[in-house]
Amino acid sequence: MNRHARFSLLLGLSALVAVAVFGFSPEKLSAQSAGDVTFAADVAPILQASCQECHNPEGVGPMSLLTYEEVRPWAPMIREKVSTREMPPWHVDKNVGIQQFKNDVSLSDGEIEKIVQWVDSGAPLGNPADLPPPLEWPSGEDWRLESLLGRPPDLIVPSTSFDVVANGLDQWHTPVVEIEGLDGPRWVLANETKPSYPLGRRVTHHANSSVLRVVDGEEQRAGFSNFGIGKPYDIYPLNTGMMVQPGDQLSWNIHYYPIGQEVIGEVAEVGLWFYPEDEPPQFATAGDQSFGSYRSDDQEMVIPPNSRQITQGIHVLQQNARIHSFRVHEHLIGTGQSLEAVYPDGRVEILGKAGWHPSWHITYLYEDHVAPLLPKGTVLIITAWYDNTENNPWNPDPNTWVVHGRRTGDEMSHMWIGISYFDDGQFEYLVAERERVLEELGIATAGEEDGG
Amino acid sequence: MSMRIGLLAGTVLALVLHAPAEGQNEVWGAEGRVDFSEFRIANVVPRGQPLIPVFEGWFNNPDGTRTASWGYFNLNTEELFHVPLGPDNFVEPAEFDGMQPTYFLPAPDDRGRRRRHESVFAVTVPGDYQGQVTWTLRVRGLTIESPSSFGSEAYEMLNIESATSSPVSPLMRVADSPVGRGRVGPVAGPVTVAVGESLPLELWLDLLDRERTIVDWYHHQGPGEVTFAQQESVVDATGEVELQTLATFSEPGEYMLRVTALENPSALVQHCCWTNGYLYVTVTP
Ligand code: HEC
Repeated sequence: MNRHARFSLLLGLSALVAVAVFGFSPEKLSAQSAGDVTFAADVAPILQASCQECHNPEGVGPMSLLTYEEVRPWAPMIREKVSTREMPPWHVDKNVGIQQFKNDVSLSDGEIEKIVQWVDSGAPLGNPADLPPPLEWPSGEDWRLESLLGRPPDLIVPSTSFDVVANGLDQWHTPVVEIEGLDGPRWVLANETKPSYPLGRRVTHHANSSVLRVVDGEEQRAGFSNFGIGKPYDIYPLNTGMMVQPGDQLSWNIHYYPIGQEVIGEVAEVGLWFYPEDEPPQFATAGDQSFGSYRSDDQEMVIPPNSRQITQGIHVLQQNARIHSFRVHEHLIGTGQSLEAVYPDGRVEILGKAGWHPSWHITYLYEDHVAPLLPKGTVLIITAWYDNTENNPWNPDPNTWVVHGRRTGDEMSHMWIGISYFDDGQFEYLVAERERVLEELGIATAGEEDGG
Repeated sequence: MSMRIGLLAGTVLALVLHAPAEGQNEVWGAEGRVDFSEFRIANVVPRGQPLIPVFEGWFNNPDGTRTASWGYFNLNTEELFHVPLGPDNFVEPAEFDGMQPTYFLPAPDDRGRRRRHESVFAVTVPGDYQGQVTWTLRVRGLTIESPSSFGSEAYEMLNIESATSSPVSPLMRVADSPVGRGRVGPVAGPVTVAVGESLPLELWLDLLDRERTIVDWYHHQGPGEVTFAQQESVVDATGEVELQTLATFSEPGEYMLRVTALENPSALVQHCCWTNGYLYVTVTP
């Protein structure tokens, strides 16, 4: 298989993944006539596409929304949650920045309108013959990527076990575990994190890991896997992977919160899917890197009581890069962040802007054809905003000075950016490849757009 | 675009929006910049920034009492503050006044070290105490109150043991004090020394099975300057150790020294576990 063929194969695969995960095609819906909006014909397909992944009997959502009987009692609440865009959880600002994401679960305005009309007209079932065939949802015990990638993980790396208390303060578990079972270097295509089911998933606030490698006596770390509500896996872009080799370790950072029931011997697992041994990807990713949203030298997180504030971190890229994902991280006072690029030629582009909601850790995965390609010298500006007033519903105490720290009541603010770095030759190739793909898709190339 | 250049030049990097007067940054109106108050994006600067009392959190004690703890954040890298106990530095209700620092070190310049001084004193209230405790500091006309948040889950902390990378507070004796541990560790003295003479500081620690402990002495209260022969020592040992150093005082008066035994700096971010000890010193002319 030549390079181009593999490239388009992977492009096809990732499009397939997007459809398989979220399986929706909104155009289909807008073709329906207005008038009688029914559950069977109009609402059920939306719920299948955008809600049931979580709202099934074993999903993370608090109730199942598979059948009319299950959905009917929730109709008024569903109306409220979808019209305020609280559900499905998707906090990207729709008005600025790149909008094409592999894992976009958000509803279109038309879909929201349908649901609102349906509830307002008494939430009728309609003709049962119109119901779409029910979908099968994976159990909480299954690997979500198994159905997408067609096989179980090629390797599973467990954390060490931890006893989570029934009641009390949050607990942290930070074991370092050797990656066992590698005969030689392998390239990771995708990874997924899975706490035990069902209790482990309830006590795990987040479980992240980095790959730890000692090179010439120096420790190197690459942000690897992440688990948080809404986000258990990562699939790297086309032809891009992360190499792991014998001797590498996984360094875990797991945050547990007690649920009133003791959980003994909790173990989280990371599943690794590899590229075929004889077909390694052409490009290596640096994984997830944490970019500060404030300046570390002369700026400290100090948020006065009853005030709003912004901070800004400025980062100059020393190498050509491609960003494939971003994820906001704040605690209770932070309410969102934006990621902005100032290109060497002076163009300014907002790459992404997302609100922050403390119970959701959503990684926004760019579609491959829009993942920003950033020549070296590009400046990334990360702006974070904070609301330490009583208008912020999460604020535990607006009269308190808020400072940096790890406890939930302290604040933290950084952006996790999934990024790969390239030499000039690789980068030129990627830019040309991007232009080719965009042309194929009939989209004007970035260079011709007015980015400013 | 010129705005963007301004940003990159580092002139205006953050605004505090709709904040009360003391929380504002640079505020702009039709006449240009109309407010030049304290909070810039570069908020750690040599001079001119405020001194902030920071409520760190609270914890329950085994005897049913509860403890609240404060630290301070001096956002100046050069300016240090002496704020004697009194109208510019007090804890309310008054029965809890007296343990707070009066001497505030500048923020360290080096980036690797944390600049805030965390949990430098604590106040313990009876189990049936209702209401909050507030530490107020007034510096350069700017008054900042820091109320406790007893009962707020977000500010609850542990004191002696925790599931963190510094899981246990060591046991400590300062001079002839009883053994104490945690944030409200042992309190000793007063001992007496004359200006300019060396006061031996004796410290006994049971480090349990901690592999490394960082011990720091601080000037906590009192006029003048305190000089330590060895302000910081790093102890690579487990179990019981005895440490000694010397302090000299530049002016007569009532002083309090604070000593901390920390396993690693991440204990501060995690709010557990380490031990504070205190020594009252009377310095005679
Ligand atoms: C990624 C997982 C996920 C998706 C997708 C999702 N939900 Fe939810 N939903 C949750 C979780 C978790 C909660 C409870 C926590 C919260 O409210 O944030 C919730 C809460 C709700 C609630 C409030 C229930 C209550 O008792 O307060 C409603 C209503 C709801 N979802 C409807 C929907 C609808 C309708 C959709 C699709 C249009 C949807 N959700 C998509 C995970 C999801």
